[in-house]
Amino acid sequence: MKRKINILLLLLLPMFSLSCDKWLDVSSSTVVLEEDLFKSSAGYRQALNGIYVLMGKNTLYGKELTWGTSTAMSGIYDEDVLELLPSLEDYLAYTEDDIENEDLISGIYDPMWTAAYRVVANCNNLLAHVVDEDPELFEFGENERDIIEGEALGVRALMHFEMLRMFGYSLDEAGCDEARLPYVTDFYETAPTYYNTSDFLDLIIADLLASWDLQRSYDVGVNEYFTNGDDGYTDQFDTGYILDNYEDEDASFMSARGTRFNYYAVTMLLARAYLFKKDYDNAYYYANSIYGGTSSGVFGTTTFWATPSDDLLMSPYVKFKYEILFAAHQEDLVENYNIYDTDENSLAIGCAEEVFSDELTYDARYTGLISSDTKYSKRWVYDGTYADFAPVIRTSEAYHILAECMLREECSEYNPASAMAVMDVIRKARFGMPYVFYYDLYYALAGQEETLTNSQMLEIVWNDIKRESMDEGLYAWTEKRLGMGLSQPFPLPRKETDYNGL
Amino acid sequence: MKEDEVAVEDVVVTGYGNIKRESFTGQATVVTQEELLRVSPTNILAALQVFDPSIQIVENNEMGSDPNTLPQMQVRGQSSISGATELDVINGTASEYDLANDPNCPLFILDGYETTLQTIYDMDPMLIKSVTILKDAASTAVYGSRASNGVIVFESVPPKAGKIDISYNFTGSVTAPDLSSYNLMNAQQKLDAEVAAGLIMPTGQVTTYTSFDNRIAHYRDVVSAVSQGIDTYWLSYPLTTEINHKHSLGFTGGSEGFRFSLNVNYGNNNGVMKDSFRETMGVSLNLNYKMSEKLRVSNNISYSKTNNSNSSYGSFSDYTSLQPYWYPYDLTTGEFIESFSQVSGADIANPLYVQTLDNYSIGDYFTITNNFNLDYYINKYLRLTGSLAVSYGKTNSETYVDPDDPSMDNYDMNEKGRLSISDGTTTSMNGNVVLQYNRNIGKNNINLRLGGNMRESTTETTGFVYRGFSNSLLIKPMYAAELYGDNVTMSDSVSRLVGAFLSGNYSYDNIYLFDISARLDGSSSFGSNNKYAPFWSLGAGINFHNYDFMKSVDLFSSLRLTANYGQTGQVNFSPYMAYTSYQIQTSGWHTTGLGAELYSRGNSDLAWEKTNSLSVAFDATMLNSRLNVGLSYYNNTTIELVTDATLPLSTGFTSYKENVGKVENIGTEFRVSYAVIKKKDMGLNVGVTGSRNKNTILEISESQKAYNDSVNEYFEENSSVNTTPLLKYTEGGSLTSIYGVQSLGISPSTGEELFLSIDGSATTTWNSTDQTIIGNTQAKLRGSMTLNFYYKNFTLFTSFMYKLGGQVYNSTLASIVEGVNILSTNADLRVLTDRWKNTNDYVAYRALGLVSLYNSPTSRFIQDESYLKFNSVSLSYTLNKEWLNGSGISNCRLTANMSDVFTLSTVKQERGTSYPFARTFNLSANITF
Repeated sequence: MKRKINILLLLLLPMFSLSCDKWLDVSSSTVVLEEDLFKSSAGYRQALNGIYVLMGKNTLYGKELTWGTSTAMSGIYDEDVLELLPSLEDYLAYTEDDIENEDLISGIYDPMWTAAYRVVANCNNLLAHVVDEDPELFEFGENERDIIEGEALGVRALMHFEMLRMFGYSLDEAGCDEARLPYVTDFYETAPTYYNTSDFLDLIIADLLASWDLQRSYDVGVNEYFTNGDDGYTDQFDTGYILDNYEDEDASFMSARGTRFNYYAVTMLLARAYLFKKDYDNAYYYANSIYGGTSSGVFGTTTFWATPSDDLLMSPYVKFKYEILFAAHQEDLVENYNIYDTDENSLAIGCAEEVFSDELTYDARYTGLISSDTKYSKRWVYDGTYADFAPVIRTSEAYHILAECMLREECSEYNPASAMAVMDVIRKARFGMPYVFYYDLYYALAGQEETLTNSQMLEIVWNDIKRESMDEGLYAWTEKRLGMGLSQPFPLPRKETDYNGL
Repeated sequence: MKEDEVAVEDVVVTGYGNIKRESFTGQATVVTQEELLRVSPTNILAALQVFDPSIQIVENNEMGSDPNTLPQMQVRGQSSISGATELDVINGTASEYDLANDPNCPLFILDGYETTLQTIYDMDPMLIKSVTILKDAASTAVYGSRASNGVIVFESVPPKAGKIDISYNFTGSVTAPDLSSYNLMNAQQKLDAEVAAGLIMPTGQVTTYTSFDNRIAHYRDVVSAVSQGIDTYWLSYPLTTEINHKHSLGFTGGSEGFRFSLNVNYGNNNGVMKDSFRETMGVSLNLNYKMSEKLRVSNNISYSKTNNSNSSYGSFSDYTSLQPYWYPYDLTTGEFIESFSQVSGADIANPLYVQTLDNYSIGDYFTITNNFNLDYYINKYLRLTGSLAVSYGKTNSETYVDPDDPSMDNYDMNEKGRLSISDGTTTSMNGNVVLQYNRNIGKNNINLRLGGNMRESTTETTGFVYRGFSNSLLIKPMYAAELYGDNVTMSDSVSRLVGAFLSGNYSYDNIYLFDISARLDGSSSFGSNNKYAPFWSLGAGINFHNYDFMKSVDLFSSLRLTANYGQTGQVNFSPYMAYTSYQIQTSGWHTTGLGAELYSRGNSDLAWEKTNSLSVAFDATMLNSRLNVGLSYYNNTTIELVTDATLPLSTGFTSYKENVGKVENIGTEFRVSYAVIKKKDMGLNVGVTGSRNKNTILEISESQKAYNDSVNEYFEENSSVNTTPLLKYTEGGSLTSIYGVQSLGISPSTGEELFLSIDGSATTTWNSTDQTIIGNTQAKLRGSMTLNFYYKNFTLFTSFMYKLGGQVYNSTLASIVEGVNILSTNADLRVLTDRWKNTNDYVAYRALGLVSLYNSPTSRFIQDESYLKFNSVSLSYTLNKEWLNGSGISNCRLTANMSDVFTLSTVKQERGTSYPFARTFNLSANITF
């Protein structure tokens, strides 16, 4: 009898054994549990692709961080027209300095903040898994693992940096010592730490440096065609591009690097972050690595359009495609923009004539991209192969940063003449008609004792940023950095201020 | 080895084996089939509350007697908070899981396996042998993580040995609407009310949104209608008196070695709203085979099916609001008028015209269940039972909105009409193994049970909405213009549970009693850091009546005191809540491929709610077993409630599920019954039960505080409509509290309402931040009274339910008497009689005007509620056996029963707003051949 009981007990025991644990792990077919997603290389790719899809939403690069808020806050648009456009009249609050407008809080700021930090959360959870993942899991081994980790780190930095621009203080502003913005690095964080501007920038730079390091070996070592493909460029948006080293594999995930936050984009952002931090030497170094690495390749070639013609108004040229280092992607980009481009009204660039002033008829960025009568912008309206891309980072920024650094006396590379020479590269590329070189201008005037002052030259640089970016939203960066923009940063969402004690 | 046939009342069926009631320290109420049938031959669940005051069926004032609305049940108060807040329900943001799962619903066990409220609701009462209500830690701890809300164990009738018995039970019912709570105006009264409100006063004297000319034209129309004798009693149109019938046929028999039973049942339940019905049918076969002296196997296979339909007449409230001076038909053509034009505002559709369209809402489900049991008597003391149950169920529901329905007016041609189809399947597998040891050694009695169970339940649901129907002849998805893309829903879930328990009962000399239970549950729903949950209980008791000196005194046949304490659990979240999950981005691929984004933020620490419960009971049976008294006290504290924890937005999410919060339920219950007459041929037994429960929220989470703020915002945004109170969560408050602003009454000088603001000053504006607790729906005392009389072959049984104390927010007063928009709806007669008219009128309601005076929750509409419900009366007669000799009938019983006879209440408000209540008269015949 005793033995029988023992047998019975043995039969019951498996219920308590470890196999229970396995049995209690379930999966679903309508949502993907994270354990299931991160079992395969494909899952990691989906998690990374998903991050870029989120960045392309209207709350971020699909609208607000490009042609929406980011452009409107710099006063680029014609106010009279804004007033007439449905749901864009809120933007008037920026020029009217009515920043704490409730409609903007609920309609723009809060959704933007939520979306950006949702991207950060996605990055953080991806990072938590990819950091310790066995490279063998990935089709392209260590390289693939590294770029996934690198991109996630880079995007995390980019999103935080964007929030600093919109919701934070620059180092020149009085509030910059306020521990205001959360830098979130852990997906399961419940009480994020809030930082002042300087510390916040250091965290951004740290993430970017790590990203730079991780992506370098692939984008520079393996993917050497990024800037040297057909006609001198690889098409950085072409997914069909097969890399020599991986001829037999499906390399679509490893190509089209321009749609993801690649090494060059990270480099550029590092330069931007150092400039924001007023660390001109480092800013110079990273900007120069784009400029130096590409001086013959990017601005010197025939594919960059020199003479404006009707062809230029067709994509890809309208987006200056070859100069994009990173673009967000959204399928409905043109459709969404066209809502505001009606027969009666369109998003007129109100400041165009002032910005281009006496060079109106020369600068192709005006003649080619802005309609001379209604002043509407042609950058976002054309449907075509590259219409889905919203440019976020461009090579021209390297020139602007280089020039500015060389005009800053604190910079060890201080050299106003060279700065003007760098600006002239852009002018040479953008002007279809005879023009004056700043370099010559500088020396000509220097010869007459009355040289261009530093501040005049800085104005030239900043003015060119505005011309370059126009309704892509990048000028707001310069305004923010120099404290020339809105009188105050956007108010933090109330669901955030409950936690940071502000 | 002979199975003990013991009286049902003497054992407690825990679902994992039976325990002798006399030595058990837990509390359980056992109700037999016969008792249930006396209260209601059709509604088992409602009948239970007559027998145990700890059970409360929450009254559904909206859905009334709708046969397709399942009751909401609680045992000993509410301990959990639903994931779907009232605001979520209003805004339509509640998750499907939260809507479908009542967090306070007890666990239902049918023949050892977890089953659903719906299965029990649709079950034929003739199949039930007994119901055991388990409500304290000692009796429920073996159910571990599913036990906190109490356990109700149903045991079905087993096959009986002997010659083949055929039994047939018939119940015929007549059900008729109960409109006694409605007191609407007739056409003349309505006209008077409109005039009193200022209909024909020139503009300037009254505030209104419609011109004087319009009003005069309207006045002329109404006067002319009234003079023509038009006085439509709209309420009668969607209602009907229905006759329902129910049949159960059973065959049982066999030898001691092999027994079987076969049961077939059919029943329909047509509701009082026209063409709303629920129809149930089922068949079950039970085989029981004794393989040897030691081994017995049995198998039960059953199939049940339910069809249901909601009334095509829509909501009852559509009719109560219509004007009595409107006539449903066009007087010349005799056809229904499509819509009525109002003096101001939009036209109102004639619901009777809408009914002629092809709208429908139907559904059905079926379940097939197979239970296999094995019973092995290892020796005199040891018994092993094992069982395996598999069940598969499929539900289907379909709703069609006709393209001509008024709700489709604003859509394009190819978007009109909606066909919503949803399908669901549920598969569950259960396995139980229990080893029982029972032995008397001298005066020691030991009863030990060691067991384990595994359960897997998989559900899948799919829902599609199609739109664009040209005509209603072809209501099939392929004739729709398109699949309405955003409305495709799919969900699936798998949940698994594995548990093991040890439960022991020891008694010494039948005087000193001890119970101990321990259970370890593992569940796939728990967070990965908390995969296994321990539960336990301890109990002790004394049977005073078994002391020798007590035995000599003939006063008590039973006198016992028992107490137990333990911790049980409850899982109140959907199966994947603990997990971080991703969703695939189906629209908008990225250039480099398909994307996935975070969907939910898991919490690997997420755990079950825990209830620490103390229960003490005193029972006495005395005076020659005539008087039976039971008293009990309980203190249940539920800790670590599953609630939302708010997060700063920068985490990317606004909240996640966390175990925070504490709710306490303290209560007392009593039960007294006395056999006034106790003779062979005649008996009279009266009984009364009562319970009192005090629910207190001891701790709330940050998100609940934030929720309270959003309730305030909701009221601010909806200040120009009638709103009813919404629950807020406050420490010290209760889950049954009513929140609103304290009213100081109607100022006799102005007719305006004065409110008490939070700082103590009087104000004429209703501020949502001034809300406080203005009432509590929980009764001070509630319970039942029964009277059971038999004389020879006659048995009379009556039951009453009562409630003393507790408040109710009378929304009829708020919205239909005072908040009424007099020109657009009919209203309660009190509009005409009880409202402020002249300066220095001391009345309860503000002045009547053409512009409605909308009400936000105010204490002015709080009323103390006490009621007495004549719940049921039944008279049955058993035919003399001698009369049946030679007829082949061995037993015949006839019963007449009436349920919901009347209600006397201190509160006069409309009951059954969307679906009226009903009174039902049943006639049953139970014949055994």
